[in-house]
Amino acid sequence: MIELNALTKKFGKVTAVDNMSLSIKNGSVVGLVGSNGSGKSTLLRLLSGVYKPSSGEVYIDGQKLFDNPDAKGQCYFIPDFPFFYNNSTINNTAFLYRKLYPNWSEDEFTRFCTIFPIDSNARIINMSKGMQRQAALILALSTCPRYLFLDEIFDGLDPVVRHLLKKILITHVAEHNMTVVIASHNLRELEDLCDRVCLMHRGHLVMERDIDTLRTAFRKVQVAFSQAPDKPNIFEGINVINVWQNGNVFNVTIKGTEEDFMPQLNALNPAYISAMPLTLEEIFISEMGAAGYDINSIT
Amino acid sequence: MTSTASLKNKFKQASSVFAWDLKACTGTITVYSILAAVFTTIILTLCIVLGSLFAEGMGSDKWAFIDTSIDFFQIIASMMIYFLTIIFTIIYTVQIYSYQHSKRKVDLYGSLPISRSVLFLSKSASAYIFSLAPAMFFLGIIFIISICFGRPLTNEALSVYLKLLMGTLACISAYGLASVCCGTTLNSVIMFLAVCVVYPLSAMFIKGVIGGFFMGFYSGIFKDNFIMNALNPLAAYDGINVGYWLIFSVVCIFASVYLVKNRRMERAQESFAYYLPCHIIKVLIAFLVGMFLGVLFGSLNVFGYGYLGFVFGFVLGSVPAFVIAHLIFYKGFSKLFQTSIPLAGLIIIVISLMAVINYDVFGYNEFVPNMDNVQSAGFIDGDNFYKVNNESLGKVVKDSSEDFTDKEKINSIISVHSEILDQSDFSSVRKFQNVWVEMVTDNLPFQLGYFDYTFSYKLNNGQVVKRIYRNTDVESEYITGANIYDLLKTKEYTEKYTAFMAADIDDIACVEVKFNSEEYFRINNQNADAQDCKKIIETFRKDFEADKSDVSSVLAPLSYIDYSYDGYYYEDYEDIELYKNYDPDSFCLIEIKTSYAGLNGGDYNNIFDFLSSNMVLSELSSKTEIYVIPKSYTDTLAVLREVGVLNSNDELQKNSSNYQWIG
Repeated sequence: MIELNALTKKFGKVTAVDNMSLSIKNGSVVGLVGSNGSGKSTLLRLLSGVYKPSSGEVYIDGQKLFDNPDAKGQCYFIPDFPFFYNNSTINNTAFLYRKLYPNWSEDEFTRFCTIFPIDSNARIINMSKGMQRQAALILALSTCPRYLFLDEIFDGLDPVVRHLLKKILITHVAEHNMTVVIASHNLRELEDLCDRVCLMHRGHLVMERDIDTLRTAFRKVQVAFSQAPDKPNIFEGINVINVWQNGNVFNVTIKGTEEDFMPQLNALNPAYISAMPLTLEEIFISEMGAAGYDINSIT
Repeated sequence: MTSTASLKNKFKQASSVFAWDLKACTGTITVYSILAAVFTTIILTLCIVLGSLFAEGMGSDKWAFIDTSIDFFQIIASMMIYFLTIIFTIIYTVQIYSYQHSKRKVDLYGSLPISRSVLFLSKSASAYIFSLAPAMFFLGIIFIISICFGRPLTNEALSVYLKLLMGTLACISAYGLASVCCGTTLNSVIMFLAVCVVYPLSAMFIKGVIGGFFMGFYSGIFKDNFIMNALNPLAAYDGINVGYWLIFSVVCIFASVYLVKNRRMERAQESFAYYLPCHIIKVLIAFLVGMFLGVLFGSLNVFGYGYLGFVFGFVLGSVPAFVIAHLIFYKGFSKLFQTSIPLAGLIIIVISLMAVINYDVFGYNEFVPNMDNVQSAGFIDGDNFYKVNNESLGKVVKDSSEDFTDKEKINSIISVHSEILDQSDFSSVRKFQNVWVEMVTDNLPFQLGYFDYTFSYKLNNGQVVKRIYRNTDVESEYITGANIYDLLKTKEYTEKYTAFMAADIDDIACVEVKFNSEEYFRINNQNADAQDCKKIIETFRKDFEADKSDVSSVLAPLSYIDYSYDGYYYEDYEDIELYKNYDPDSFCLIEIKTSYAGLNGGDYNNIFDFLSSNMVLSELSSKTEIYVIPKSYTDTLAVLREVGVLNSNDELQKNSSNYQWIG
């Protein structure tokens, strides 16, 4: 289990991660989403022991993580731009990882080298961005990490490999109880993969929720009136996140289930009403808007 | 059990990092190996070919000089490996420690399951092994080649091992510390080079100021002193002050390990992770440039007064240098004013200290002890004395304070001392000019000038006062007034300060017996002649010791030949007839030459020493003393006849290969 205890990371005057406390259970896949500069990558570097926290602590299975080789041996971090030496190949890098990672599996390495469509003897530095990520993934998964931290891992991967990666991760999680933390702006991919989502903004954890709960917690409702009610606040009493009006038609984002808000909407005598769940991206936009980060505040 | 497992695990991790670095540095090691192999072959070929050509030119067998050729090969090839290793050590080290300076590398290394300290130490070990292992391999090849040619290993070539071991350890440790403190590789390199250049130059200026402003102060105490290069790890490649460099390296490694544990890795690609070394370097740079301009303006008498010129120059140099250093390190003006406090402190301290020494507040320069306060005193002609066991001049001078105890001789010494001070220029501008003289003369790899006059006094309170004046300190070249040479021609002085009496007999290379400058009979202190040579010297020494009369006639030539370094003699002084005018008892002259190694304790400190001792310079570098052998030294004359120097007519034996006519 990963535990973050009042974790703070400051870069000079900037607080990248601010007093964050969080628990991540084993076997879960957690998506880290948030605005640019919200602290996702910094959090991953704190989780993987690259950075020393300014205050607070990261615990892995009850052990302090920072500068602790035993705890770090259970983790693997693939950053957004993984580093490889000029003459690195998958094979010669694997040779070096064997001694460093206690759970290194030769069978898994052979298996992943077969699964991913890249040459394990080719120089990684000459490969495309997507292939470099695949190389990093082969090495990462061969270490059989109990905790895998991925930063923008879907960048540069073609749809087939993306699909393959998601399948491998899900299998690994199911079989080995691996915990995965993925920071990404690709919410569509996270939606398929994650069972929990953490939303970050300006170093703070804005929201942390199961993805199923999240999906049911918000509804996108279209309400059409033959004549719009003559009231200053039509949706008073309903937990409305966002309203967009086009004539007599209202597109409303509501927090809650149909059981919560339908009676109140029906009481307004709409000509037409339909409700559907939000995509993760829509939830992200609406929550970020609530946190003061929307397109209007940026422009 | 647990700790053994943990240690084993750490070793496993370290070996993995080493293998990784080896992979990364393979290209550089290959380039080094190719260069070393090619240069070694070229040097071996040239030494053998040139040696045989030289032998043929001399009309000898073409292999006649093979031993010398292989000796030269050993030395030159070792030196080549030495310099090549220094260059490549810097390359490996920069490459290996860059793991802290690139954000992508930081992500990789920071997340590896290895502690920061083990990682850093593994990296250091990699740098050390990559630098030394190939060097030792090629030095081994050089030595095997030499042994195959039947030549033993020379000390000079062997010393390269120690020098490389020490220099590599110190440089890698120092650069490691710099790399931990810096955020970028460029800053680490700049900081390392700045320390290596700025510190010794600053130390030279301080030494120059001490020597230039405190006339008579023996600044030779700083020669080869670790303090002159204390922060310059490249100096460890000289192979001296080994103890200091070991401590230096260990301190650097411990400091690095301590700092790297707490290092903020996010500082990668920023200027610094720790700022203290940056402040030190900036202050050192400001000091150096300030001193350069200050001393220059002082010696040019800017504003008509040396000290004012110095103050102007120091401020004019140090402030811009500080700002430029700040711009280079910080990549901009940020924090310039906050970090300028050390500069202000530096300017105040330097200007104040220079005022104190410029005005000679403590009266050092004009101090001559009062006759009543002196218990004993000594005077040494710095041009012409023999140092036993390569003792430092400072110690010799200190010991000389007990040479003369009678009032008359002490009075002579005090009066000569006063005379020198009367002739000295204590003006501010002269002192600043002296700084340059001190810096130039003391920092050349070979000796330009000698100390001319040394005085030491043991005061009644037990304190020893010593002053060593250079000819450059004194306006007049010769001392006039009191006849100080009467002191030099005393038996006490001769027994302590001449090669004739004080040198180890094995350090004497040869003796030459002559009546004039046109011919001589030489007996070398080696091979078959060695016994004869030793016998002559020992007998001459015994005769001299037994001589109860005034020995000044024996020592008379010392008055004329007060230097031999440039190998220049006045012909007349090698003619016995000259001395017969003073003492009819004079019979012939004996010239004693010491070996070069004897002057230097037998060790070669650098290539100049080696060349001096092995090539044409050897004759010029040895020390020569000439004495009169009186007729009354019958034992000496008997030995000269016995060993065949003199024939039955008491003339030089002309039918010997040792006889040389050069007229």
